[in-house]
Amino acid sequence: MTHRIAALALGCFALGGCASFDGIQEPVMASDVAVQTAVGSYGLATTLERIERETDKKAYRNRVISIWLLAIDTRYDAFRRDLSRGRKGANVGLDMLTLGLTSAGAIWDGAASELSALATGVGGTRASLDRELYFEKTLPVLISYMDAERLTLRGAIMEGMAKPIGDYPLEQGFSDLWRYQSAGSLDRAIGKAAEGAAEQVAEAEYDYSQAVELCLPTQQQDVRRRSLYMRMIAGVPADESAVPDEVLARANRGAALAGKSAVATDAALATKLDQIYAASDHLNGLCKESELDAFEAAVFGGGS
Amino acid sequence: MAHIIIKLTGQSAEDLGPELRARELSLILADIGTDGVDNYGIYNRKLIVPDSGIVVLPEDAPPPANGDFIASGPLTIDGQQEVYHAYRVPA
Repeated sequence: MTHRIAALALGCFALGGCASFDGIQEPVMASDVAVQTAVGSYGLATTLERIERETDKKAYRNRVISIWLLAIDTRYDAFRRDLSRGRKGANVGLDMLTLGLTSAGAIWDGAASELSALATGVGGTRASLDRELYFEKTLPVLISYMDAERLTLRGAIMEGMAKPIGDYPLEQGFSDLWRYQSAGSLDRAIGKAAEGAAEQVAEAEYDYSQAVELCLPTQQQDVRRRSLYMRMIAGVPADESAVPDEVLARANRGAALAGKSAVATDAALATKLDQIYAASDHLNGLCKESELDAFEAAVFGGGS
Repeated sequence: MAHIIIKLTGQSAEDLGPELRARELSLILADIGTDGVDNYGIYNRKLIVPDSGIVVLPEDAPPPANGDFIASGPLTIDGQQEVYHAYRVPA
């Protein structure tokens, strides 16, 4: 009996020895500090009100965005650390416990059957843990998806911070920060991974029966079509099928280019983009000067 | 993302590059392909496309100077199906 207790103690010691295992260094800066500063002093309502009184609005906007970026980054690091700790700690700890139990079983024959059974149970616990949390092989991939999307969005924010306040207002900064924060989500990463896989399948199996047949413009006609398109998206005319400057400004800020997620929250913008796309599809099928003249007259009222 | 597939009429790699570029109005080239007879450009929606040209070269040809790789895929030229690369080059 004494041997059995000693063997169990050895097994437990094996687990206890790994309780502090962690693959990421402990941060010097606590995430809560940055978060409390952002939420407490640079909240949405507070900053939107204060920026109106600031003389250097661009500097204030950039300070606000930087503080929120720091807060989001520290939270994300804490999240990643928890994921890493959860995986490595559980796996290594349970591995060592299994090793300890089976080794002890080999040393003390009397305890072998109970310890082996317990070791099997511990191994099963680990398997169950992995299945539940999809940690074994998919986590590094999912983290890389999160990191990649965060990096892309961060780049857009940094570009915005270099722009004048009129081209990248604080409201747009908060909108981008929200998307940046949302990128640090396992659920979102899983969706991205699935979307990527679907995209690969789709690219491998194009349905060419759906292909569009269009006339081929001459080089001169191509230049004219492109010019008409650029005028169209620059919002020169004022008729309904034209694109207001607001849309181009948004496009320049990267919101429209960011894709469906940005457009989906703005029904008016989505409608305008649909109009541009419909008009450009029509333009793509025009190869005669008379057709281009008619298009120009319809969209721009005949002006050039 | 839903692709927009456009049937190409060019009969040589030299013709196909400008033709692929000519379609880029609110569209951007994503891939090239063939059904064994005709060739196709596969496009994605994009409001603003780069001011640039497109060249199509056989896969064993050296990439053009300052060219950015866009896509690689089979094309049927003179009845022969081979893999070609599409590059974006400065205008």
